[in-house]
Amino acid sequence: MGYLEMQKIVKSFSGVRVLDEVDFSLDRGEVVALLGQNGAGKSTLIKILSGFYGKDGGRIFINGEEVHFRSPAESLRKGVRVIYQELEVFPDLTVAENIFMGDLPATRFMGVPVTNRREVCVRARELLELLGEDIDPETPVRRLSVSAKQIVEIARALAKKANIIVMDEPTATLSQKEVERLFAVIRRLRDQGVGIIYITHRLEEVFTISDRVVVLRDGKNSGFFGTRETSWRDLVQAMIGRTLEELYPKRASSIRSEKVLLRVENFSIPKYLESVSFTLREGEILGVFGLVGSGISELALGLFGALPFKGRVEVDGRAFTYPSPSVAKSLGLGFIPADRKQEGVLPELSVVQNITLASLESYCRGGFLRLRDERSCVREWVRRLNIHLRSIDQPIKSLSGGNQQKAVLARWLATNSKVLIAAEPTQGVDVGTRIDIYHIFDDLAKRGMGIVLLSSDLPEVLALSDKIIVLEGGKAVGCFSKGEADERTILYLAMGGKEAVTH
Amino acid sequence: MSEQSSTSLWVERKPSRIRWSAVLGLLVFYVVLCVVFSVLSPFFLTLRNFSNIASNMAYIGIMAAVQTALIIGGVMDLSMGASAQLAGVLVGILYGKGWNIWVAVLFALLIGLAIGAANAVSVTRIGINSFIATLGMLNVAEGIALVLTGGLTVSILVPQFQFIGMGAILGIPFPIILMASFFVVFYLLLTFTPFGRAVYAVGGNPVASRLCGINNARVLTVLFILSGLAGATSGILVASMLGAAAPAALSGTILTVIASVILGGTSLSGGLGSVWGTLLGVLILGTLTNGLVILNVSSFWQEVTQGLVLLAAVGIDQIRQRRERA
Repeated sequence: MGYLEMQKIVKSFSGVRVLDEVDFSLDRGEVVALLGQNGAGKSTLIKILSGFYGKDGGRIFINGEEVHFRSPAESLRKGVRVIYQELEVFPDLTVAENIFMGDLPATRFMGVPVTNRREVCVRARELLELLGEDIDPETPVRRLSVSAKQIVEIARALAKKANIIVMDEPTATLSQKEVERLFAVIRRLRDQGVGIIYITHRLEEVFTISDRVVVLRDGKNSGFFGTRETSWRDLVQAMIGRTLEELYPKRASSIRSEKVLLRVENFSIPKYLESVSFTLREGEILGVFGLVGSGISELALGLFGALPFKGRVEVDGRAFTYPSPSVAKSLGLGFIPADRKQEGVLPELSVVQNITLASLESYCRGGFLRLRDERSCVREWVRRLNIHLRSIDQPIKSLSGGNQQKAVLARWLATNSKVLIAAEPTQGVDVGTRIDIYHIFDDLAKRGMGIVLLSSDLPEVLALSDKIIVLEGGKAVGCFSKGEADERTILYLAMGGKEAVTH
Repeated sequence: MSEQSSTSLWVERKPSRIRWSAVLGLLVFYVVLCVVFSVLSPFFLTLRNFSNIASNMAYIGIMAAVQTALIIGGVMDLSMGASAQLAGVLVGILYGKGWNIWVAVLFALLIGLAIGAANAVSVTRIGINSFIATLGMLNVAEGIALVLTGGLTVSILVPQFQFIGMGAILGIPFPIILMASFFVVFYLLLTFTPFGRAVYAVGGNPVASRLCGINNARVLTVLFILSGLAGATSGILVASMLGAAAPAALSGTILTVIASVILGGTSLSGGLGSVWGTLLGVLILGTLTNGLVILNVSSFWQEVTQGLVLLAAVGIDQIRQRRERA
């Protein structure tokens, strides 16, 4: 039996089983990757382990003793510590104060506990050294980079004598150098006998850092692997329940003519982008690949006029002079934003209201909306994009992420845009929707639409694009046409010369 | 539980009809309220009494209809009552100076419009939170009304002008007609025009709304201007009903206005709500006052009851929403 043993864990929300007899185990001094798509049940499993949710069935053992967590505090007391993506640090306190927050080492002075600043610092430094870091304990945490803040949180977990540390997608906002730094810390933790649960959906990281892999799919265990004995292919298969080849469409180029739909010259956004140029032809899908922080999200927002830019942009021969989304729309641009929750959906509004928001003029006669026309048009899009819903009047927030994304897509298809700017269109959607979206893009291109696909998902960019631009540090560092691009070169370029932000 | 919304589980959920059920709940509450009062007093359930209730609430209703649109749009106008006050006072003073009464009325409306425009500039151009911007404007407008009158009541006794507050068309009191037209117009505006849709969008998620090509600032500017106009209209109505304008007559009405909107189920966080809910809110608060007056309950206790009804209605709605979500 492992140090942590979770057996046949069951959890339902309002009658829907999100975890169905899931097993998980972890030893001390071991890194286990918990892998799965969004909605596979990773977060729920962790929230049960951390006492945030109660379980409906199953048993949890820590060090051979059965535990029943009723609150996060009880789980903490058993040595379980979760480090979430949104770090829980106190920005205005120092590193040392953050590490010992809650139980600062104190001496009594006339009966009143007084913290000894020097002693706190010495002990904080010891802990950080254990992790191989030399962050100054007196620095206010606000001044640290994201990765240094993470390390402070890890040190805090050590200070609390955590034996099980859970890291929830810790690398999502880190640069490549920072990732390596984090991995070094994780290895040290492991060597000190801490058990680590590493949640991610990035396969490369699984192979670099983990000893074992537990894969979840649709709330069930879909695979247990020793990292050394497994392959990329096996893991993908376990994650998505089908092979990689089936996921991406075989797409022949559908460039219709040499007619340029979008011409971008010396496109710059201060601090984010420097002099990016490209052209997009009728029926072409242009892939822009870049890692987090490379400038792809700014490029997307800028192209749609949501950020002020310098340089020349022409849409179907007409110059895009004043940066504003309403101007972009009138020129025939459509936009799928990267952050669906913040920038895409209007959560309380109905599916109808969400889908037609960008095309209201087309249902308008004499200043009034024709609600019947509007609704029949929405029904048509719901059918064409295969959006699963109960009623077109339900608030969009009650749809799944994938269906919300399709609704956002429908919003722009309803405008008859000539060019679609799609930023991370498949982020946080289930595999089914992902496949649907790829086919929709392929279909749109065949009908002559130009698509700029900005994504940090390389296989997706490779499979769909007729041409690929690689973005790094706000500059275009490579340009490949379909067929001449290979994964390794592109990744190398995308990571190349990236400077780590140090503390 | 909010993270659950990103998973596919939510497809299984019933489509939420929270807001309509809130309106329905209010309707039931209103009927019960009426039944209770008619049992307690023989004078309550008469056409005349109900016409009184509606006339007396008309100036609140006018402001509440527009405030609903603002709150749906994610902003609030606290200066409405003060614009009303200033408008009434202006009509009185200008008429006293020998202006034609209708020119004075027009001028008062223009001042309302200007107050709205100033609010719009503070909120959309300078970026002051609407609560603060209009709170400041409330003080400015109220202060000006006091300065202009020296704190004294100005009488406006002009027969044609009295028509606004006292007249009737086909037996229907003009204040009721005025209030009803505000509700109908705002219903049409919010439901059947692209502008109305944009109001919901701006309140529902301003970032997404902008990325749909909606000019958020323009939408809010129009809302604030309408709000200033509605305030002025209300003030003119009250001045006409009373035959006088007192600089402090309307302080505090804004709270009743907002209470009606919230009672009617419009969400303070924006993007959700309807004018019909607000109308019910206005009628409930009006009927409550009226019934308590008929029953000879002291006006101090009326205040207490109003507050309790608001708390109860919003509280019940919250509890039900939480239950539907869980």
